[in-house]
Amino acid sequence: MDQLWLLLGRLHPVAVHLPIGIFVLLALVELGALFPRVQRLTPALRTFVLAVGALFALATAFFGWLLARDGGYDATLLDRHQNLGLAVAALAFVLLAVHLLGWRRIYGGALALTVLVLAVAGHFGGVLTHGESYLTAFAAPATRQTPTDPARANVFTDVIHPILQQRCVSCHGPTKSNGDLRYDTLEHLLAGGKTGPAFKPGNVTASLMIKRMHLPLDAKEHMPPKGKPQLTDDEATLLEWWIEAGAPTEKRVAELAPPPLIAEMIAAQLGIPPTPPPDRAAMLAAAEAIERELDIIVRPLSADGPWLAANARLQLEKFGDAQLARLAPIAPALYWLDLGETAVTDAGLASLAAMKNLRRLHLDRTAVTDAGLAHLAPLGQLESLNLHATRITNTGLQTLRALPRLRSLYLWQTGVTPDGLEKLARAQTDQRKISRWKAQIAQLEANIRAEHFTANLGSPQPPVPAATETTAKIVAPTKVKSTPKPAPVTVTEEADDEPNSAAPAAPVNATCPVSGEPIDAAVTEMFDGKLIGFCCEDCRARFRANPGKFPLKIATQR
Amino acid sequence: MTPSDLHHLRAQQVAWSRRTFLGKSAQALGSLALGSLLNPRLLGAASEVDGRWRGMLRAPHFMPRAKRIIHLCMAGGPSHVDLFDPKPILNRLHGQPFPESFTRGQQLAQLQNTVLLARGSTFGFKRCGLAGHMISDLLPHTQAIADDICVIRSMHTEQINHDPAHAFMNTGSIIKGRPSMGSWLLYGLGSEAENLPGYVVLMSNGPGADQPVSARQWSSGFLPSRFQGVQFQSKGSPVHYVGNPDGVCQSTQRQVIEEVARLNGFHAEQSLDPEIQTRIAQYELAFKMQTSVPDLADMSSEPQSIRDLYGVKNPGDGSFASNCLLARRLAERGVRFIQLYHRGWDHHGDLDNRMQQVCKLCDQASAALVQDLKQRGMLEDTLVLWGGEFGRTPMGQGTGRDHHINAFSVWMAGGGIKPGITWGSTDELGYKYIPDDQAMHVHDLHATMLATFGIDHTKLTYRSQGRDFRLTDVHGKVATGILA
Repeated sequence: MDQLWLLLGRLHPVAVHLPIGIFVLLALVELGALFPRVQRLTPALRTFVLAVGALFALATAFFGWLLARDGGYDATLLDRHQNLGLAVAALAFVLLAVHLLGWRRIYGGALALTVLVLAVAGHFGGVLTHGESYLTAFAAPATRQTPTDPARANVFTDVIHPILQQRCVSCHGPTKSNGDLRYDTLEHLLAGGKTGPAFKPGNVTASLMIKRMHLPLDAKEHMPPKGKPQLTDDEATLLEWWIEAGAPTEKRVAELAPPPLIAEMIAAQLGIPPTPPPDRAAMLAAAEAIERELDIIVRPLSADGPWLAANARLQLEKFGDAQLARLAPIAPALYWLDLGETAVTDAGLASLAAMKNLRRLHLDRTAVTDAGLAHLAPLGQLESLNLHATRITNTGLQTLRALPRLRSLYLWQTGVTPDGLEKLARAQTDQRKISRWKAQIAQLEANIRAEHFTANLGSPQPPVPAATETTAKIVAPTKVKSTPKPAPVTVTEEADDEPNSAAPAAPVNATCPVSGEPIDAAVTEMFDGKLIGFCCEDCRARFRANPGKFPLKIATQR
Repeated sequence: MTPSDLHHLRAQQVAWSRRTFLGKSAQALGSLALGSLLNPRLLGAASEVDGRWRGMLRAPHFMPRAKRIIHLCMAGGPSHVDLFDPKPILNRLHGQPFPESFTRGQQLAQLQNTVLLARGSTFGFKRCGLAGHMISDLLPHTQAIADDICVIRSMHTEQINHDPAHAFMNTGSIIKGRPSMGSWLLYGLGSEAENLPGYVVLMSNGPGADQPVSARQWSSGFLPSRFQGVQFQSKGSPVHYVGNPDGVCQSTQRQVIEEVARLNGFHAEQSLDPEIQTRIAQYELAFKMQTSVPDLADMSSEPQSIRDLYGVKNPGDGSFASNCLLARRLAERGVRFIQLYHRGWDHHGDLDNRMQQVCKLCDQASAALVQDLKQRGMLEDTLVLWGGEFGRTPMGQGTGRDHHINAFSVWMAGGGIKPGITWGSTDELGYKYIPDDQAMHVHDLHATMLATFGIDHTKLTYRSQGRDFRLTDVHGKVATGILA
């Protein structure tokens, strides 16, 4: 029954338009009658219209009362709206009585008064649903003073709060504060609402606001509710970044040193135009000249953008550092660059710094070493990096921390160990995205295991960096397992040699096999003769219920 | 030459041009239209620069995911209900009459007018990888790469016999003279391989000799013939007589090629036939292949571990495994479209034994190819397509199964295809695809394949005989759900 009442209450904003329409139309018809050529209402018809209008006004007022019980509205405003709404209903009946009693002289005045009260009541109703500034909000951006220098902008007042203002305050503000939660001022924001604080500084995953934002759109708890304007991906990312950074309210953007991607989003948020993409026609012309000069392949990637893919691989050793430097004219437009098997060296990679938009880079089978990777730091957009069969080691890998978008790394036949890759993955700011690295770490482990096995090295040292000429000896088969599931990893001999693993108290893994988070040494479980650590009780329970589900992740052992 | 001779010659020339003026001009106009498609200056797009074909499109329509494709064509029609699409209800019905509601009025190949009996699969299936694909125990190595592949169970085609079905799979039509998908790709995008053909075909077979595959399957149809597939030999040297005979060195050879090109150039100016351009390009390519092919075929640089991964006993022995290894080497050298046919999947009888044999020949190398591409970082821009020209009936044909067009399974890997998903489904007996939005007609497969290369399949067209043709004809729906 309660739900029915609630439904009727929610119908108030719909029903309200009927009495409004009826009375406004009635007033217009009566006004029209002042002109001689317009037909007047017959008394019977007027009775009917007035009766219907009065009944609907009463019903609407009742629906409104039901809706008000739902709560979450500003008390004074609600009071005002409620009183005026009841007044409209009352006036409607008075008007009907005036007409039936035939008091023609005051009928016109009474009708005018009804319409007037109706208008005022309607306005307050609008303020209640849409917020105070709804009518004038479209003018707001122009009046807001935005700092032109993103670094000097205040992170809260200039970047974060405008997002909340735009997306949340109409329901969580001074006029309507659903769940007793208000986002319009800092104090209210920090105070939180009925279900506790909206966010936990420094902890995105424990922040209710973020959780609800990421629920499926159809979920009841999703915020903003379905049908309301949603946060853009960039806005959501900014909120998360701000909370992760401890939700500072006084700091300037520069003090927080946002990573390049976030800096871009902040600039966009402040209305500062992004650096325009390079000019297509100029880039294509330059590309053609370079293609001819260096005899490599430089092609546009799509029919509209300026982005280019360059492939120097077919030139092999004829393409070196000097040739790489010749790509300077098209550097800003390069999206994919294949330097695999060429003669480029560490020093030559300095030319890459200008390729700010590079997404995919092949350096496989080149003479590049750890030192060369330092030149990749400015490539903030890099998503895929192929270092297969180079002399890269764990040390060099750590210089890739600065690349926020890096998703794929190819490290077969390098000196990199799974531990080294995992360290890099952990250093990536976004802990939730760490899962994307799991498969790659596993792949590397599988490769290295296979190499140790067949190369019969039998020693715990990492594989010898694969120089091109020795490749043949070191490369080992990545044996295809005939088991359908990724094979559970058995403790390798090297691990046994380590003194640590002899002590029974130490878990064999560093990260929780269920969640991927670092383990809590107190939460452990013996499985298959090994002590396995978990990050929390919940994960241990889930592992117990179905250990077979998480074998791959046990692989990340020390 | 005497003056009278000269006069005679001149008169002949005049007569010749009078006689053939009309015909010649009609021909010239026709080939001019064709030539304009190839001539960058007439098109305003630099499709061909310095004799290097850069693709009709010059740039893909949108951002590409894949740069090259390896099509592992399991010629003969692998049985989907024994490999990727387990049907417990079919197993339960084994030996009983196949429900007539499924088959009434339907086209059958060799089972027409026979009593139709359900035939369950005798092979076990396992749920594989984190993806949970159901893959037959016949394919243990494919089971191990389950998380890298996208299995499409809702494939269906229109042709029930091998040759037309291959043609349909390759060209989207059974009519002769249509270009195959590799030719379309070369025409649209060109190839990055300069020293090798952009479209290479390799053939293997076993166990035993199976249905032949005709060379028309990799024909360029009405497209200029420079875009047709080139079949390499699987055994021994991929190309015969690639070395110079005694007494001819590379520089002599170069001179010969250049002179032939010069003479052909005169001819090309006169008759505007794009086939002459093809001929010039082929001479040049053949010359380059004299060095590139021995390098390609030299498998000594492949370590034993890699040979073991593929299961290659002797590189260049003509086996599917050797072809897979060669395919990877072709892919590394920038070849756009590599097509491997393995003839040995046409199991009308003795299916249980022959399936085991052919899976043994194909499974390990197919999986190894995906793995090898992956560890080299090539899988992200190499599309691998594994599958036959049709499937096999869930009804038995003695000890085998007949051809079947209403449902079959293929898998794709890499090249921007979402790994670890199953796309589409079939009814409870594996007889027919479920006609939902995951249904995959051959045209849809073509559209999706082109989409991974950044090509809008409705916009890659070629005018022939007065109308614009495309690979997907007037059909094709991109399965956006499998694009990563």
